[in-house]
Amino acid sequence: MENWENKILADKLNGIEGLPAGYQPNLEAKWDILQSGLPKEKAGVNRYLLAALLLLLLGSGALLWTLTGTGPETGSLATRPSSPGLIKQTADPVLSIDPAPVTVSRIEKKSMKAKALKPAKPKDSVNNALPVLLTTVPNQIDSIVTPPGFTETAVPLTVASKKNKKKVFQRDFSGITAAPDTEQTKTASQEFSIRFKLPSLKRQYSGELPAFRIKQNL
Amino acid sequence: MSMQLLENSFIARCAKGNRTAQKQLFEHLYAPMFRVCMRYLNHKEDAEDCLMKGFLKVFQHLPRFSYENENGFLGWVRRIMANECLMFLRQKNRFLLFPEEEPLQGQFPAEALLKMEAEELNSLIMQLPLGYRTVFNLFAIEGFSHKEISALLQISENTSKTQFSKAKARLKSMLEQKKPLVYGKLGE
Repeated sequence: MENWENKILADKLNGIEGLPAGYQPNLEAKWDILQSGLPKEKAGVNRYLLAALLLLLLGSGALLWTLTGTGPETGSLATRPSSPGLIKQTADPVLSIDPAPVTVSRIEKKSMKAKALKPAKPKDSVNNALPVLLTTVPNQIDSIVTPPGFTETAVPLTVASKKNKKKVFQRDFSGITAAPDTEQTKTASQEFSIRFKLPSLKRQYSGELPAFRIKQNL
Repeated sequence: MSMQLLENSFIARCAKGNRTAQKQLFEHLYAPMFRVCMRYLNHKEDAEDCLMKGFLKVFQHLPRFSYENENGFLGWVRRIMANECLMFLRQKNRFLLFPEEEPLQGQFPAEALLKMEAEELNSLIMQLPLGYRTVFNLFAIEGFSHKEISALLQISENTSKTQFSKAKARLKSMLEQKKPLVYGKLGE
């Protein structure tokens, strides 16, 4: 048989329409069986993907809110001017301290409780007492009265971190800039110092600037 | 066969998993593909089983099928059905039924076959022994080469050629005698 003969045969056989005589299958039932074995429609898969993405977004959003909104204070206090209970530096050179109460997050409370259960170490007292300090400082600072004629030039702020590192941040209001300083503290303490520079006093006290210090050992 | 249904857009809808389009395609192709399966198996229930498995594969592999034209699509579906039938036959070891026959003598009456009505020709082919019929279907109707058939049936290429020539001899004999053969039917 030649190829063209095969082609004619194939066309003839494939051209037969309809089912063999006497055979009438239930196509609806067969389709139902076949449909159960078929993969789901793509639109359905997309719906599930969207739902999963939405859940993921909500979960990550909640996690971020927990960590940033009410989470523990992880960095230096001075680097968070917007946080409640910290000193805010504004364009006005007058020192202003936000007397808002310090909020302690659940995570921080947990860590404080965990540390309270551990054997007492000298360092731990710093961390435990940190919120207390922040609430008490504003009242003490309010009692400071700036003498007339004094020019405020710098407001150094020193806060001991949890790792016993003390960072000094200086804000210059008259063009004099002091380099930031970092020093180790051997004693666990928190100290705020406010210095007022007066040229006449500098001469009188031979170089040592008068400073008002508020110190609280913890 | 009216193939307006088998346009590219319709096949694309089936490939995307549109159930309505898939059902239409299933209903449209059921009869012709059932006949394909019957040509290989000659058994209604076996043919139905293979047909359903074949349709399942068609819908599963449709997203990867590159549509060119209707005939190409139909050929692809027919090949899937043929493969399902061959797998079924292999599982049942039905290819052991190859009978040894005398080689072809004389000229094959191709013209006589071509002049026959489609249904008559179909019934004649259905009466061929399984091995002959399978190779005849694959080579003459589906267009497989002997090399492809040897791979599909796990036989040598020469065996495929021999089976095809024997199928033609049997057809000639049937045409001459005009009486159906009784052996080689499945399910008996």
